[in-house]
Amino acid sequence: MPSPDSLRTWADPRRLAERARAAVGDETLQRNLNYAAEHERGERRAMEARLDWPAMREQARAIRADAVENLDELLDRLEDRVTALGGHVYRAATGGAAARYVADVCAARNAGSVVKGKSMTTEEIELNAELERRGIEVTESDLGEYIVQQRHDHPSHIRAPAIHLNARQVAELFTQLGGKPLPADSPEALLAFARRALREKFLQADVGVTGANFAVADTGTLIVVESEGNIRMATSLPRCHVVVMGIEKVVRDWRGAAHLVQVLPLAAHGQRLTPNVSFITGPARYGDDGPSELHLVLLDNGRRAVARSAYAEALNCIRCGACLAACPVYRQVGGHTYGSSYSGPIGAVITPLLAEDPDAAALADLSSLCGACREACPVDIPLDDQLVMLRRDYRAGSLARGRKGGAKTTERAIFEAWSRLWSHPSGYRATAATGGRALFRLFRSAPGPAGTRAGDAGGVRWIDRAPPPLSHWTANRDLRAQAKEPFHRRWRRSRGGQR
Amino acid sequence: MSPRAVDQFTGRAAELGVRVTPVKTSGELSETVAAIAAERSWCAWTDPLVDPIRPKGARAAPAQADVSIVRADVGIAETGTVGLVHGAGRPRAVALLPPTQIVLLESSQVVDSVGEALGRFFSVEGTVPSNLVFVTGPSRTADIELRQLTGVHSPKEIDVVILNVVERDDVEHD
Repeated sequence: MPSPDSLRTWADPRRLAERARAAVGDETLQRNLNYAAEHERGERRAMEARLDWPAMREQARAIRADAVENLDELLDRLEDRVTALGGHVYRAATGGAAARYVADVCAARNAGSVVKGKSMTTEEIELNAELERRGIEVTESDLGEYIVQQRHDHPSHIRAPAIHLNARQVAELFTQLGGKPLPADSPEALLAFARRALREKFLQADVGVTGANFAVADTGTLIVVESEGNIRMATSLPRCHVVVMGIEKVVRDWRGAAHLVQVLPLAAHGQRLTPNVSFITGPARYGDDGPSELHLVLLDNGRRAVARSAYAEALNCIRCGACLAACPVYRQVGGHTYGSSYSGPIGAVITPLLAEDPDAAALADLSSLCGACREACPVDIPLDDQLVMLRRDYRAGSLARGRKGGAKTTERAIFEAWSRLWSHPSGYRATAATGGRALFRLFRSAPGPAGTRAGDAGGVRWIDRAPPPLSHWTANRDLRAQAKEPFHRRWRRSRGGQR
Repeated sequence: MSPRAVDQFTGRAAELGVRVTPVKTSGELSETVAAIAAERSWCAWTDPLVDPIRPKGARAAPAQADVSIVRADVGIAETGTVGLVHGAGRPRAVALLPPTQIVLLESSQVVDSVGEALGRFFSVEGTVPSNLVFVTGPSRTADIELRQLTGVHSPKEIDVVILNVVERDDVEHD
């Protein structure tokens, strides 16, 4: 049973198939996801061509693995350093405890208004709901998050939270908020509106709340990367800065951090550095007029348990979003389908682990196991293996039925029978050819559409429709029909060319 | 610190839309900055490189100024980045609020890599500033329908003026 304080999926995992279907039918979402995926892939390829990416990747993995394997030591050192600098450190065992601490800090300062940077950990702990419960106004300052927040919607992508919306929808929202009509065909006008609206919030806010990409144990430095400048604003103008960070983000030393701060944007979109990177070491000192109060909330919420489990490498994650860009399933269904703060392949792995909810393991079905995520991952998380492990460990049911529990009896029986039959050469030879041809004759098949079966000579045919239970397969995939003469017969006939 | 590093810095910055102007003397630096600022309202950090500059426009508070003049403590050749350190006489609002930013830098402060740049601040105890910002080009977003736009919250236009420090070997002896 998931505890009320652990990560909560905001959509029922058992209705995954429904949400996926809706997403596939959403034109705006599809157009934006395709554009983003192509764009990101182009930038990644260009980047990998000019750098020694395998070496950089291995170095990044080693830095992250060192941290995950030495969490307690590094967190103790980090806490000592930040405290010595005059900051406050709070170790939050659960999401609920973290959210309550942040709300307490705000209440203690009589804060009426909080401005926030984009932070998935704050989504995970449902911070905004807690602050609003206490009568504290929260404004998301990342443009995509601001749009999503004002629409009372959920973010659908790690880096582009509003990727499921088009400019017309944004114009409608801003027109409504500002009371003045704004054109959908001028993104600059929309941006100008948001800039003015958010600047007011930055200047008024009592507290700025952000996440952190990394925390350097040796120096007590918090590192936050960004493109818009909203993090610099939120961490400079209010008098108090609160950071909520997953414990796994700690890094041993500044050299490791220097490497990761580059690997992150490179993996994300081939960029050398994000437009702004803030290195925050303690509350303001030496005449710096920044916030005089700094709080660091170190969030566990199930991470320590993951670190001690077979899934520990999932904590290497630096939240770059590369696995989302690589995943053919994500590209079709988008982030909302996952119904969790974390989407894509990494989301499918960590959501069930952090949520302690066996139903959430249905997310492991959102994969074709192609392994593109693992290849794309800059810290070499074996995501494809972990998805298989989740299916096995939680016995996630089939996506179509949406049921949890063991593999269905029929499915298991079919696989067992097939396995037994093909374990013997005679069984294989008897059925491979005849079975294939029978299937071909029984079911409708058609030649491939022109241009899609390049290289096929002699009219190769495909089985694109079969009756149940095979219809579950052919609904989304085509089965290539059997060759006229199976290879093993051809081999025997010609004895491999020797007579 | 080498001319090569400054060249690489200039090239990388240009890719990001950041104009880099080299100057040879502090007099030339003052004139160049004043020319870039033109008649616009401005605000600035307190610094020996900045103080002699006399822009034509009116001095204004950061929230009203069009132009800010700041001084970087490091430049990174590999990425076209400038590193700003906040401290006494270097208010955050000045570096953040005005949409156009002029960054002053000495060529001797340009290092090759991100690692080297961070080493300057973190490898020695006691010199770690409470806030260091690496600025790599103008602020950006693609959050509205994935259209790339610049100038969100941190500056939209960045100009770097590099004072070329004469290397020992170049000095001519009488």
